[in-house]
Amino acid sequence: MKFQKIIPAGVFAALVLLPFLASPFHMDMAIRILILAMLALSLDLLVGHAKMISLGHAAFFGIGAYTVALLADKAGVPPLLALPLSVLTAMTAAFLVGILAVRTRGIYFVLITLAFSQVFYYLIHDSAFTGGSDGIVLMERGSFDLLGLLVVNLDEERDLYFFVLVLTAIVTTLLYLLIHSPFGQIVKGIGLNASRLESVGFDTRRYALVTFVIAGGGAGLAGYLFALHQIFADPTLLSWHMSGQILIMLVLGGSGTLVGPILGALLITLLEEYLGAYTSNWKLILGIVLVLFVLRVRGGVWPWIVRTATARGRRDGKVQP
Amino acid sequence: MSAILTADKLTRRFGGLTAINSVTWSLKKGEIHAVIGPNGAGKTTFLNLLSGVARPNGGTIEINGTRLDGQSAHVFARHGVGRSFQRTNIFDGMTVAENVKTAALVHLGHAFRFVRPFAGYKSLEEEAERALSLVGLLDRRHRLAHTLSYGEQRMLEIAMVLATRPSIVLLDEPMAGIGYDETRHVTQLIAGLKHDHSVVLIEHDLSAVFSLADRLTVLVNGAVAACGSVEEVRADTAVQKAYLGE
Repeated sequence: MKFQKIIPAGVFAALVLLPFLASPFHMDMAIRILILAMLALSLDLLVGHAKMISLGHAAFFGIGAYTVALLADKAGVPPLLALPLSVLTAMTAAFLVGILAVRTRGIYFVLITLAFSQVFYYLIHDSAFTGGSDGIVLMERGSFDLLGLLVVNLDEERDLYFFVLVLTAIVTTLLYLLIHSPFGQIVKGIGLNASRLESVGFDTRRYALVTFVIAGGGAGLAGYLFALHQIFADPTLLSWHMSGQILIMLVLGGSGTLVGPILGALLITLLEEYLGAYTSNWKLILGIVLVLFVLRVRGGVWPWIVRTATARGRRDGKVQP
Repeated sequence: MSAILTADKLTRRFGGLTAINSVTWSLKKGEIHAVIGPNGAGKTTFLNLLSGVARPNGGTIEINGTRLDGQSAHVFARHGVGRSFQRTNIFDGMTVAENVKTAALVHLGHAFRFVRPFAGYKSLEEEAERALSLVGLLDRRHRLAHTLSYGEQRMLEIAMVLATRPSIVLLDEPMAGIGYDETRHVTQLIAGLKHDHSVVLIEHDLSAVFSLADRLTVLVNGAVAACGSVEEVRADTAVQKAYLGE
């Protein structure tokens, strides 16, 4: 019982204290993990709840990143003002893809999302306007001053960290509310038995489309933050490798939960960072780890932790009179 | 009694097979209308057409005077059609109560409600409890749906239909594969529906059909072989030959 309060409090304290203790290298990594966690959470709304497996989610991530980069580069729009536009552009793209994609299920949905993301990839990769394969560099991240009360300069690593942390917390909270709302219930219903939901009286395509657009918006926000973070947007953000990597985070962390995708983003980034330091063949090791996981820890790390903890709790409960 | 649902020259083909062949048929308001026929006669296809699960290749369907042929299942549902399925069709990972509450969500009109917790909607809770007590599953409401026995899952299926408060109830073999006590319970339940629903019942248990039905349609090879009161149909020699085997 006590652990249920200690662990979240500990995580919260660690997140707040981290920028005062960590090296720039670790700060950089922490920001990346938070952004990827947001990205993974947005995809898990589709994969974990609606059981719509998208292999094109990186497209919306990249579109969010390119929106802020292009606006700053071509029109001189301050990056902070571009935030809502990045989200909106990604949602618009998701809407256009979604209209066609939600007409399909299963493997066809996988393929149609992959196909559309490749279209976006090559549009950006092959266009001089978007800087081709070189991408676009952001000159500055910008700052804001809220009546002198809250002065944030995103070019300071610590301020950027808190900016990303707060937005990730907001997205996580909104997703929590959404999943537990009537809308979330319909999303789960789509995942479990869409045709039954139709027979009860719900136009499941409309709900699937809105879900797809919301997930796209989340990816767009993550992409916006990623561009701010690395002051750079390049086509690899939209690549299908990126989409695959997010899916791997879900498989590893535990799809269908809120903690799982966050944990997946954390584990993948750590594995990449530390295994990558040992050997350039780190993906081979990651592959072996994944195979072991899929075989031994079905459902991902987080569900496994929960199962183990509740099993232990039950055992302890039996010992006590 | 006036017709609540009419089908005119309804036709459905699967490749070269005509599953439903130009069926003209009507359901009167407040009646229990049983549809019987040998395996492969097209009974389930007929229900699929009447509930929008399948689209007809020809002919029309009117519900309360509105043309609905060619529309999707969710449109039929919004016009008051509730149906149960021959093969159990529930939300496996949800609890029994959640299954019924999800069906009851239609009473909110739409589900584009993103903030307030689903669990906090008292009206849905009450609707689910009403439907679950009608089928006798109230004490099972916290169980995960897939842990129920087969018979109980069939009951849950009916509870989900009732929770949407349909005016037309389509039941596809509700008694198939369930025990004697449950069969009696379902028989009573269907008899009780008659007051404020119109019911189409597909069922192989002829004693249940004869005791429940106001009218009877015999479907053979996708066409209506006979339609009338139970007595009329039982007396029909063609039907006896084709189906009753007497």
